[in-house]
Amino acid sequence: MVTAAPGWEICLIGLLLGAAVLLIALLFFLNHFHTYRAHQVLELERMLEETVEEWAHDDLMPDESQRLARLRGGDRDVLVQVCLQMAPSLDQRALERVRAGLKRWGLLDRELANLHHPSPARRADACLVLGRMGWRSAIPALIQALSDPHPLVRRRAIAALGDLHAVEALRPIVRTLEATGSWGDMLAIMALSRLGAESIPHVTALLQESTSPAMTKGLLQMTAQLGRAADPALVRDLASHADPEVRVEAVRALGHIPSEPASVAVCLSALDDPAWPTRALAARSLGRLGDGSAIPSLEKAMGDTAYWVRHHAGEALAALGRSGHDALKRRLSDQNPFVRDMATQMLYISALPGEASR
Amino acid sequence: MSGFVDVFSDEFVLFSLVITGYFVLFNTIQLALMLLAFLAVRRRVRAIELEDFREIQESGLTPPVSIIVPAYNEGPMIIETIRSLQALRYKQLEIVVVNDGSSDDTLERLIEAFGLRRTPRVYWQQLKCKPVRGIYWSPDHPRLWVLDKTNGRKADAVNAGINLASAPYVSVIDGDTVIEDGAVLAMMHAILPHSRDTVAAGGTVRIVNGCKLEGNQAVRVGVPHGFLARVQIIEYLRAFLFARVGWSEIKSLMIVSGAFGIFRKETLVEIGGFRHDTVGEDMDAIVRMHRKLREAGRPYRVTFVPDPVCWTECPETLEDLRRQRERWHRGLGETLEHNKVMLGRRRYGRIGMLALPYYMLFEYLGPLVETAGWVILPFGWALGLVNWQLFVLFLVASVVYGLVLSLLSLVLEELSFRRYQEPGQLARLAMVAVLESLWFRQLQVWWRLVALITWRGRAASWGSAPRKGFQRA
Repeated sequence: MVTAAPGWEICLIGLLLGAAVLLIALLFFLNHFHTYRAHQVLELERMLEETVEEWAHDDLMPDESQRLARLRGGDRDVLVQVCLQMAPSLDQRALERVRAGLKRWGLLDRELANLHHPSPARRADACLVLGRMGWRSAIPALIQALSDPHPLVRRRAIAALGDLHAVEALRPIVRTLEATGSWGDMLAIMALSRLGAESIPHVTALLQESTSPAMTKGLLQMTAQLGRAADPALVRDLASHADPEVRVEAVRALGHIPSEPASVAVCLSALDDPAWPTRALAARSLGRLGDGSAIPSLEKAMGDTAYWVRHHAGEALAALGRSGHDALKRRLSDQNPFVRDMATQMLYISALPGEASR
Repeated sequence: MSGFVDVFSDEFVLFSLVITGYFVLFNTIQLALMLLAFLAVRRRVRAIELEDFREIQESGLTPPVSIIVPAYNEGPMIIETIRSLQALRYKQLEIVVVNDGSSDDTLERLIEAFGLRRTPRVYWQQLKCKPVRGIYWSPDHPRLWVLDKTNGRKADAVNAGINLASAPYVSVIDGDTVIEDGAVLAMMHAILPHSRDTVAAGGTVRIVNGCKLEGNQAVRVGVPHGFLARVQIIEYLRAFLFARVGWSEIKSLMIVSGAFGIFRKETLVEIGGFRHDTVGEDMDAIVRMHRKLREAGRPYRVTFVPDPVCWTECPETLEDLRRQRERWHRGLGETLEHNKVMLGRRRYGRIGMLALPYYMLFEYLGPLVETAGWVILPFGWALGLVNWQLFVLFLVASVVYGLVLSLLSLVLEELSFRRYQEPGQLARLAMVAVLESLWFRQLQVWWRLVALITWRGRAASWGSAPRKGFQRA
């Protein structure tokens, strides 16, 4: 019979049972620590909310130095977080005063230094703070952060530059998105759109220069988000681009920028596009553009083989007011059951159930 | 007797070492997955700490999501479930309830509560399903559709819902689950940076027994009274939260729970929807997605997002739990059988070479090895075929190592989500973790062994467990 050397099994069982006991002790220690810290943070938040209120109202208390000098590491993070939470409810001047308060206590400089912190989470948070607190001096550092190896940091840097309306950063941002193949990151596109109306001419210029379908698509998505284009003719041209995804975004953008007769014509012709997503978005944009001349084409599109084309065509007709509703009512007796079905639904949804039930 | 001992002692020792090695390997894989998961969970928690989800909520670029709720005899719960879904924070949400030929008043309750009327809606039947008897809708709830069909089991109901769903992403949930307010938003937050590649994403399923809900939020997370419900909290933490995050980290996730997951509709249609002939349709769909997309050589991503939570009621009697576990094991067996062509094939990458062999060896065939260990080793020790040191080693590898992992999952929960905040709750859960290792795991092994041997001869059913309902404020 094979026998194992005596003693080792006792050590092993002791080791694992010891680990179990240690884990139980650790569990309760962590729980106690977290509860204590949560309570402490709650108290601190209350105190710091008062401080930030005072900063916002330029009503500095004499004991500010005393109160804030006591704050250490983690507590200073709480102060920054309180500022972030309160920032959306502050007007521009109040935000400036809060920013000045943070600056006075060296917290903005600390966040700036954190852009080089070894932890990506710290770097990402630093971007967010600098952007939301509107500190424009941080723009060059944030542009540098666009080349961070971590995608979260890059996205937060884009969002921060957007919050700061740093139009000068648009080109570096576009270069980053192109170099990292991140045009498919919808969160980055949403963040980019924060640059606001001032970026519209720059976006158009980049659209003109773009040779990459992914970049063109991303810039068109941004155009739709911004609701304006410096050169609508360029967007219209892109509605006949070879790449179907670009065509989809071009017709989507046409529905979001101010209506022009030429845009309506482009969307009408996109209703015959071979790709159904383009036809669907064309129908939706025609509804947004609000031009009654699109009604016959939209009625025809209600018989499309693709559900989404029928759906958006119906929705567009419902959005076109009385004449659109009349068209929907006509379609209730269409020979095609798909058309009748969609007309019924759209009349219901557009709050005309009496007409739909006829 | 001594002759028997002399003849078989060496074989017994070898057998003991193999079984012990099996447990050591299994638990070490679990440990590695948990540690990987812990790093991923910390990263995710840190990434969303200061994130403002309103941007996703308000942006026109956020894709619509259709939530499919298959319902079979869900009369008492269905209205509450739909109202809670309507309250979810996600702008472009469509709810498709599929009444799968319920014999109770599920449909009548829905019609009455939401003022539904039959609509002549026609749609493209991309996936096969049992005949549809009617579609109901109301202008007061334009985002809610109710599809009434003849009974065909859960997968059939979900496929019918996918046919009707109009959004590019579909979320499949169970009729008795409650999704937290921001869960869809959080899930899409994880999907949007990789929206081109993500074909499926799973969220965390937690046990609602013992909790108090207000709307869709758990306002008091409690530990239920019964041992069986408590032990499932540990199991869900260990196996459903940390292990799945771990598998997701190594890009080998094979399950997105049927209780809460988001799928790209196009991909589901491409694989032919959920299979009707399996009780593990959720796992089967994910494995077939891997298979299809790897065969096509297309880039894709199946991921697990730990922070979006859905709450579900767990079985509280041994009989209900046994049935559930047998059903799960049968589902696993069916999935492995349907996709055996992938096993050990390099063409299927980590799924074929790592995940499937793991599931075959440790999850599906595990009960055979474990039962053999639990029966033969004590027998061998009693007969003197195995010395006590080896027997102790077996107990350490199977029981104590397992206990350490359960306790570690509690520590990881405390370090990440902290849903159970009171020391008393943690004490009760730690106690349950100890007891679980002593008898509950062994009982489960037995149930799974029975399922392993008998599942081929049995007919499948909807398999829902009786529910007590949970506390709402």
